Amino acid sequence: MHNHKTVALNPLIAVAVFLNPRKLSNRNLQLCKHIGVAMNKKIGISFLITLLSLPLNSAILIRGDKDAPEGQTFSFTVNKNIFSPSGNFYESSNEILTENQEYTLSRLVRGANAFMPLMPQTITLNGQPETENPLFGDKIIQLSMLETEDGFFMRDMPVVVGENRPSRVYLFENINQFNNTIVVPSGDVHDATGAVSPGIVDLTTNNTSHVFAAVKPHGGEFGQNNSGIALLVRGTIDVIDGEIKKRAQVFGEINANNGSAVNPQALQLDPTSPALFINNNLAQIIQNHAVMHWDSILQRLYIGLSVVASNGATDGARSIAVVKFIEHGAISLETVAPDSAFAPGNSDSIVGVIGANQQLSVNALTTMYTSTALNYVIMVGGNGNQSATNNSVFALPLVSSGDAKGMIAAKNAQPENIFKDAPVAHITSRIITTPATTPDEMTQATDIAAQVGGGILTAGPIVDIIVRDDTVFAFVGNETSGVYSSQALFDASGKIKAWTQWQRAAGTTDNIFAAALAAADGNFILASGANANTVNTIKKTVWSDGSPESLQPLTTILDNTLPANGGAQGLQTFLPNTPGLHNIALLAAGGIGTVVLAQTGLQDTITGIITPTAGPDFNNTVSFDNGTITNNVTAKTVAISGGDLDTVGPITALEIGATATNSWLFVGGSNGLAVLTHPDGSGWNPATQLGNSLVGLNAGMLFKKVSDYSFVKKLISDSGFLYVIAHDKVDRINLATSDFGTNTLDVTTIATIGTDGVSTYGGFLDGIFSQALALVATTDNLLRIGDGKDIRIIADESDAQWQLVAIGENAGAPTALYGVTQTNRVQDITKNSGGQFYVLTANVGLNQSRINRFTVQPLGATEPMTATTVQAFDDIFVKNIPSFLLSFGEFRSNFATDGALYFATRNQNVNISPIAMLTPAIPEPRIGVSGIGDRSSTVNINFGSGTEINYFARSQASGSWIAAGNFNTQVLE
Amino acid sequence: MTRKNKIILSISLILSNSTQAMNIVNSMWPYDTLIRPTFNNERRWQLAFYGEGGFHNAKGFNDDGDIVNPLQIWNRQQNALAMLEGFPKESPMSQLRAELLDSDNGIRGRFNVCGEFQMPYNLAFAGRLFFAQDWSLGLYLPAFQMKLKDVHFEDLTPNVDNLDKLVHRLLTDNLAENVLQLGCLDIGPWTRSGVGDLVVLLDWFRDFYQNKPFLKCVRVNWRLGIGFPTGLRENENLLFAVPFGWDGAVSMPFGLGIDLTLGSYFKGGVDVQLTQIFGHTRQHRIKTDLQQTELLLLQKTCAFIDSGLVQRFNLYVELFRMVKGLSFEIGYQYLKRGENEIALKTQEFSTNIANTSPRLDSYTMHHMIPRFIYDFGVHMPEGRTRPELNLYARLPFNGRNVALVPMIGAIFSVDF
Repeated sequence: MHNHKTVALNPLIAVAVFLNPRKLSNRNLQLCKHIGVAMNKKIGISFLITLLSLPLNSAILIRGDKDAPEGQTFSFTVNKNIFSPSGNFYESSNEILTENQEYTLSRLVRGANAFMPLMPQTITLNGQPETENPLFGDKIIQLSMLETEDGFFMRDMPVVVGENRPSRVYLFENINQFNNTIVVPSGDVHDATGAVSPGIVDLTTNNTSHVFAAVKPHGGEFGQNNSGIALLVRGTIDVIDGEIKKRAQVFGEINANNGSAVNPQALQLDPTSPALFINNNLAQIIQNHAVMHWDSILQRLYIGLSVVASNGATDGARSIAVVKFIEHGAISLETVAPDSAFAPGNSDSIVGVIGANQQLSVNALTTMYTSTALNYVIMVGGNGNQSATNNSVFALPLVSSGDAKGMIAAKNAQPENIFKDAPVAHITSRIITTPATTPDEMTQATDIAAQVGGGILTAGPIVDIIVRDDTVFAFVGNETSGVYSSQALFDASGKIKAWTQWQRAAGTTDNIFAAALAAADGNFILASGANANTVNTIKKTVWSDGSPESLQPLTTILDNTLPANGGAQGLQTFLPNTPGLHNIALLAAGGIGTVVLAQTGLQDTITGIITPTAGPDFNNTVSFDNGTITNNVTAKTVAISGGDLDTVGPITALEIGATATNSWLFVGGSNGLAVLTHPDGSGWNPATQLGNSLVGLNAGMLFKKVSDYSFVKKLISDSGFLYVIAHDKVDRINLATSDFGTNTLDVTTIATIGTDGVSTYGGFLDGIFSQALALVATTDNLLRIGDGKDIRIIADESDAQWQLVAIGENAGAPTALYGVTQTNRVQDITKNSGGQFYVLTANVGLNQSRINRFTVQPLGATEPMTATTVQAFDDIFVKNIPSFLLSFGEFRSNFATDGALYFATRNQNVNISPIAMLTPAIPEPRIGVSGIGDRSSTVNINFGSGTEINYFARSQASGSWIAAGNFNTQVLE
Repeated sequence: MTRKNKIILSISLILSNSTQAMNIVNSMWPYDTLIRPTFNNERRWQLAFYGEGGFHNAKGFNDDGDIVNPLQIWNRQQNALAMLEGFPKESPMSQLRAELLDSDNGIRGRFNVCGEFQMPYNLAFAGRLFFAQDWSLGLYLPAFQMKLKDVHFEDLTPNVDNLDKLVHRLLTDNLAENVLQLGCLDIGPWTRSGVGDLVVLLDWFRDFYQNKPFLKCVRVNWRLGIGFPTGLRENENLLFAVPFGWDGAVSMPFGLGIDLTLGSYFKGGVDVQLTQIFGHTRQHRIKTDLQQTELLLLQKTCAFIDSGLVQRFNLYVELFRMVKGLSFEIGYQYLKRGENEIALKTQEFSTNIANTSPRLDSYTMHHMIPRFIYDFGVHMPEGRTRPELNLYARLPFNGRNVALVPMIGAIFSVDF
């Protein structure tokens, strides 16, 4: 008796029934084993070899098939890939394979360094064991993923379309055992008329049960009339096997319009779809281009198209359509915004336009569920054709509840918190219910809040984007290639108010055509090649000494130059927009009696993109002793030691201070403050220096100790002042009126211990200064300058009128502040659209630490502080109780985030080695979700015998994460 | 001032200074059966004067039984960083701890602490009234002097990097001043003198003469008493200033013993005494954080102490009147106090954490006690008095969580 069957429910539908393979007959099992042994030997050996060859120097090359040339992962090109929610990365071939066909589809398991093949020659197909695999060696043209519960875990089920059968979807039901791979085909999918479609141009799923396929019309191309969205379902049905009724898994297409299993038909999506056109049918949908994304929070499918409006002046188009489920499991097409949201002639509305032959493009599309629990659609595109819009990324707010759910929200709509109706009113959601119905309510391309990256990414065309939490990562394959990121900045209500400027991420300059962020480990998986059609190399970033082509030479210099007993006591990176730098990015590290300066990047003056310094160039090094530069510098790395550097104690703070005519490097330590200056007190010329190869550091400059501060915690330069946060006081030094030649400083003490709640046993820990704003973290609390005051002009401490900034449900003293601004320079937090900052509160004794967030409103150039300049985020768990975003459960002394990854570190704790922790991949940090910080896991960083992590942040030049302290400097790249 | 008032005042002063002997140090216990004078039950009264002196600095025995400095019996090192933990956020301690950043690498803020603990003398007076043939009522009042000298806090914090220097500058370089300011704790030397707990003891004893070849007599005795909290209490503002008694607690000793006379010259016996210390409430230094160490506790608070039972076991053998009135006895004494428990009278700090204090742990002492006894009564059997001189030594040789001083002493008693 056969216990595997194909059941035809309808002559037009082939629905596969695949029963449990463990119920195969003994005879078949034996055959499977026989084939499996032969296959296992070949694959197993190569797999073991690749697993065991694990270089840990920088981004590691992931091993693929055995014939791959050195430096490549695959011997063939790959294209479609997907990162599953379980943390596995799938890659598929971009060509017909005659060798290594088992790698037609392959999987990189989380934590592994080699791909596992997933495409055996014979499979259980439609319940029929040992069937020839129709995808074996095929070119994969679409790849997506379903997942299902499998015991305690989730099981990935790739959904694949091959070039040989471009209208058929194959569900890889079970890939746990290579030799017992179970695949179920869907049968050919149908267009909007119910005719068989010639092909699928895009594919996505709702993760659990449904597959959406953008299908071509019969005899045509996608975009022409009767194109549509085919709906496939994985589910269960009752099957009669002899006299026994069994539940069986099925996978097949259904009628998208009524949910019926008979007469499958796609949901119509073509130029005649009202969801797309305004007034008259579209003139055109750019053929065979569709991008789809399922939002599991909103339960909506977003479809991005490139469209052209008809030729009437009142004709228009929408580039995004929304699909939602309706009764009986059918789907319907919804408009993303009503016609009234668009004004004729306005070509800034991003997703809609009214005007003859106006074009809109969506090159890539995804959604964002922010840490403030609001929904946004993120898209690459806008008004214009695809090539004109391929470097513009926009964020548009979405309605998250009510009848208009899924539509573009009115940009000025205020979020509403929804609480549980219980004695303890926990927050359950944050919603926006008002859709944009007028042009004024519609988000425009000119809105700062919509401009991801603060504007176009000048590095080159964006291949695709990925989103995690509050950050968008864009990868660029051509021109100034690499991965770039932009983090959302929020107002107090949780709405996005602006974005950080694009900056490099992932520590790579490779031509990246696909990427995934393995958030559980913080690693990037990067797919690169010479061009989009020749991608063959997959790398994974790892914590190490760095890449020889990137930061390894610098980390080696730091390790060798900074005294071993203290290592890097302080480290600071500076962007080219730092006053006193001229188109270069700089890293400054302080040790005991030693300072190392390294040019980490050079900014293109036209595009503004930073090109990281090539690794070997860091070896262009000069060293000086006695604290004095004796030759004009033209090097990428400078080490200065001795002289007055020996008297300031371990150097913990470094800052570049600038006036209109001079710039200096200041360093502070346990015993005071020193400045790098000429003997006459002048610095370098900020109009032209420091420039490429650190030009501007000239012979005769030397470090001079200028003051006996006690434990300098931080140095901040802004508006021509240097703010010195020392253990016992905060000083403002007017750089323009100070003479470092004669050591005559114009100093105003603006805060001292013993006042404002700060015990004489306590002190100052951190601060943020920006124009009139002053924020000082003390051992007691967070202080801000009083209303109507300007830190630049107050006469003395009492004139500052320090005021307490309440930190809701904090864990202790605010030990550190972490600012995020549009320019990525913290001193600009009151400029442009303002910024935000994180506060780490911590208490060693109570062994706890938490992260609270505050938003900062912009101030005019001479505007004083106001009562609303600094506002706490509406981060809450229980109604009316301001609270935190993250609680780490244990004491942490440092925190770092790029909006996507949230690291927290602690130095050696008695006999427990230093640790760096990372919040889990799921759930992401978000208001109302508790226990995320507590579930952080240890990041695999080699701290050697080190005990202190003195710096942990992402390099703004290379995008690599850097961890420095009294151990070999480690980077994630 | 009337005589009545003077008496009341005197009693009040005695009570206010409180306590009796026996603590983590081996101060004298005048009714200890291994040292208290013998009696022959032929006279009504016995008066005894005790005097003993320490002939060596105290040896400490830690929880593992290792010999350490007395200031290291609870912790081998003191942790000045942990000292600041567990306090309200706005307190000076918490602020100082926050200022010291993430600096506790297991070395910074640590101190090796040592000092010389001495008991120059222990004195006691005892008076016993014998009545009703088998009974006696005794009154025992000890007095002590203790000294802590040459206290040295060796700072183990390196002085290399920023955090080292931060801990040095803000904490350890001025430790004495810091702990005085933050916790009213004086970590300098001290000398303290005072009385211990006054004990009234009712004894019952009876000799059962045996008509056997070797065993001649069996003396059975039991005793029950009450200890009044007259002893000098622990000074929680000084380092290791242990109480001279049960630290203000009323105690109730109960003992049971048997002595055997074997032939004409040998004696031996065993004695068990259990002392119940009643719970009491007073100010204590408490731990506010698990990592804190006993000598650097900044927080004082009112707490109820439920003391563990004190068990004392004596064994001895004696060469009885080997030369005229001279006898020689050698005894072994084992003493153990069970674990104390503390219950804080405040919600501000954790009772659970406070109970992790090692000074609340049980402690044990082992002593060898040789004693020469000369009964001058053998020279005047019909005299009105029976003088007796005891010379003894109390030689500690083991223990846990205690500081023990080897003592040599003498007791002169007169029965009349």
